[in-house]
Amino acid sequence: MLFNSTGFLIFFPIVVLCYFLIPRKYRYLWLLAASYYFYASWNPAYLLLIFATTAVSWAGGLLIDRDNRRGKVHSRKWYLALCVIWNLGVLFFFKYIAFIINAFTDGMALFGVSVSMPVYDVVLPVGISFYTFQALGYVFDVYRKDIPAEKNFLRYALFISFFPQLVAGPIERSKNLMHQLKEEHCFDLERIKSGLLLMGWGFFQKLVIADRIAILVTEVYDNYPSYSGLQICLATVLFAFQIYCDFGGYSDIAVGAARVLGFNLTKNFKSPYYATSVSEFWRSWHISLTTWFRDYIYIPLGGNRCGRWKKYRNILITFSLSGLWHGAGWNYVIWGLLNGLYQVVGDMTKAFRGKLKETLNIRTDCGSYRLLQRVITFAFVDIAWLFFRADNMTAACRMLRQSVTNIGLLTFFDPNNIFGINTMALPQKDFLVLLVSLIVLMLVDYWKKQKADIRGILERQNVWFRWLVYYGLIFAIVIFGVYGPEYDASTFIYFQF
Amino acid sequence: MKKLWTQHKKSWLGIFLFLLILIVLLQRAVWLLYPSNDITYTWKHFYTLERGETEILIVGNSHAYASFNPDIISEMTGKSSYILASNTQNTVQTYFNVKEALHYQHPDTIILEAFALDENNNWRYGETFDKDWKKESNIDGMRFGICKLEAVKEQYLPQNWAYALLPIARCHGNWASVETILANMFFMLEGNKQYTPFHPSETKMSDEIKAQYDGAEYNPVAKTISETNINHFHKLAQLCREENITLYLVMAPMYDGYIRSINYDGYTDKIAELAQSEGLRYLDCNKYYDEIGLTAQDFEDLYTSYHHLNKDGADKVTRFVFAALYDNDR
Repeated sequence: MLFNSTGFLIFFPIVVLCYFLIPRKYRYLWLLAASYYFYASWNPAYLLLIFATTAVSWAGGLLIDRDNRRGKVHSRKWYLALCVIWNLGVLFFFKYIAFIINAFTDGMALFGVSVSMPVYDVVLPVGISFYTFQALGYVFDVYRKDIPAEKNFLRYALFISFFPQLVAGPIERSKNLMHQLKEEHCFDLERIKSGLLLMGWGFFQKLVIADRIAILVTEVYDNYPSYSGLQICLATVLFAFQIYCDFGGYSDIAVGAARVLGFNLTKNFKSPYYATSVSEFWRSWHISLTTWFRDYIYIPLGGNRCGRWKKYRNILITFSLSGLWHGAGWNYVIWGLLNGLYQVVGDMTKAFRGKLKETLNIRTDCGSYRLLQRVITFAFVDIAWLFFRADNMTAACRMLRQSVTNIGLLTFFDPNNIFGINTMALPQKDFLVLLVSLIVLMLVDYWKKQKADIRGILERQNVWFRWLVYYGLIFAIVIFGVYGPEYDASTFIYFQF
Repeated sequence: MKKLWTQHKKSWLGIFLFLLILIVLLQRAVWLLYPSNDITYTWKHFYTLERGETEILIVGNSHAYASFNPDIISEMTGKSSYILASNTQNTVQTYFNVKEALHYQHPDTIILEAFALDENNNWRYGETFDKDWKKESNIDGMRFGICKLEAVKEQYLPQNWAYALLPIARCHGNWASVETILANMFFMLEGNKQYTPFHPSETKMSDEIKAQYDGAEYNPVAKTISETNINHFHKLAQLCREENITLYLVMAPMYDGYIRSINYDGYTDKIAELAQSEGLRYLDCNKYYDEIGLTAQDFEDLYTSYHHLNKDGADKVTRFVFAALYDNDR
């Protein structure tokens, strides 16, 4: 059940209505039933998998907690190892087995050895990377004695399967969500309105921006030999916004839906394209995953307190793994590695850059400098996105080459067909809507970056103005959204991870 | 619940008002963006009629709106008539159209053009796919209510109910179509006043169309009538009985070349049996070419296709049908 489907438009109000009508002590059971139904709507067989993951991590958490209290260091390590093996094993089987086999056979072929391996055609269960990481995070937290184990299996099952964030995050940490599942959530109209507004903004990002860009990006990436270098660049720049609005939109819908029910989920994005460095970008992009990797991979590896070269090693390992988490393909690994490399090189050249600025007398406390930083950061991040979006490494490299060898300056700035837009599957009027929407998006992100309380500002306005904004948002989605029978119901990009 | 209501009474009223305005605005948006056609125009026009204005209602598919001229009906009977017919409308949709129409009008006579029973007009269970613009236009044209919900339930697979009930999802992409928006605005402001649901073509049958059935081989397989069409025909008859309305079954004439190429007798006999089972009068115009005045020469002048009459043809058929039905009654 996609958030942008009519099924969800029926499902969600029913869940909310019943949630507030039934006695409080049974509400979590209702949410659990709704979450399992939500997940089963993709494929009922997936329920077995999520149930098994839940049961293993719950039992593991209890056993580790028991040994924590008894001081049995050795056995709790075993329990932790078993939980990790189970979760990563499931993930490995469904997500990486075909990739590993292909990599192995390709590697052997390089040495002239032909290996015949079994073919696994496994369908990747929706959201598996998200809930296995959430379950792993919980077990790690119990192991570190950050939280006690949850004794109520059904409540823990809800922690793993809570439907707003089940299939594409945010990857919630037990410290944030678990206690909320025990709290009573009263009916609060203001909170519901705030949640609905956030959901509306999420739908705007997804349906008006991301899915509109997808038409152009898909066309160019699928037929890149027919397009000039500048057109490939345009598509890649737009892809940066597509993935942001797709995933950011999903996250806003998820956080908004949870808020309607009374829960506060982790904020997953903080105006990432206003970042002035790649490391800042990663502190504001997919925050729940970045902090997960930071807390459970980067810091245990030694973090940045183990010498310069080991720190660089840790960064590269963490980002490569992050790339691999996104998809079983070398292009994802390269994407992760590139983002790691940017940070390593940035750190290595920090002193040199500082001296250069001093020598050239470049002012760093002005808007123009920050703008330049933002543009450069965006450019680096965007080059990495090309690897992320391309079908494979070969395609990515060819597109990069084409961007340099076949720039197509004249056709790109042809006054009769600016950007060659008429050839890129997106009608001119749609392109205009897209540009206006992107301006709105960047304005809102700028206000957020300035920590402006947009919701508060709106609340202080007169009712007619507020309603005008609400109707404007609804009609922007309804009229300009890319949905309906003439389009395939577009899934969220991060669902595949 | 009571506590929730009293604590937030003002807010609830605000929400109610907000939703009400939203629904109205969405409806207006559909009005502007919907790719209008004669079916939706007919519905819009129908809803502007004064209550009780229509005394004779003609329903069915394109044969109905191409064969009966309301002016001649009025001239012959002194009664006002309305043609609530649409392209390839089957008996299922006809039944729901009549049911909806009876909320606003109470005619004393309904004429069902019998080709609406044709097997090819079976949308949901037949070969025609579920999403058909003619079916959509009929349902989209209806005002929201129980009848519309029933029509959707009957004619769409459950997974397409939302699709059927949310025309905005289908037409929102027309925001860039200035022609559609202007056409809808014009119809809203002016077109509605000039509109007539009777729209035969003014042209004559072309030689190419005529040639389609010239010398066509005879196909002995009799046409069938689907179970759903039969069921809804009986429902329609029942509805008319309950409302004390006289229902007639009339088969408009088709081109002689076409009739001769199919097992027409087998088909019309089945319809006659159906009419008899409900105690209704069935008038098959294809058996009265001479009485209507459709001489061999006339086929080229009175038709626009092998199924459809032009204005002259419609005038002749209307005179014949109403003379036959009303004279006979008298």
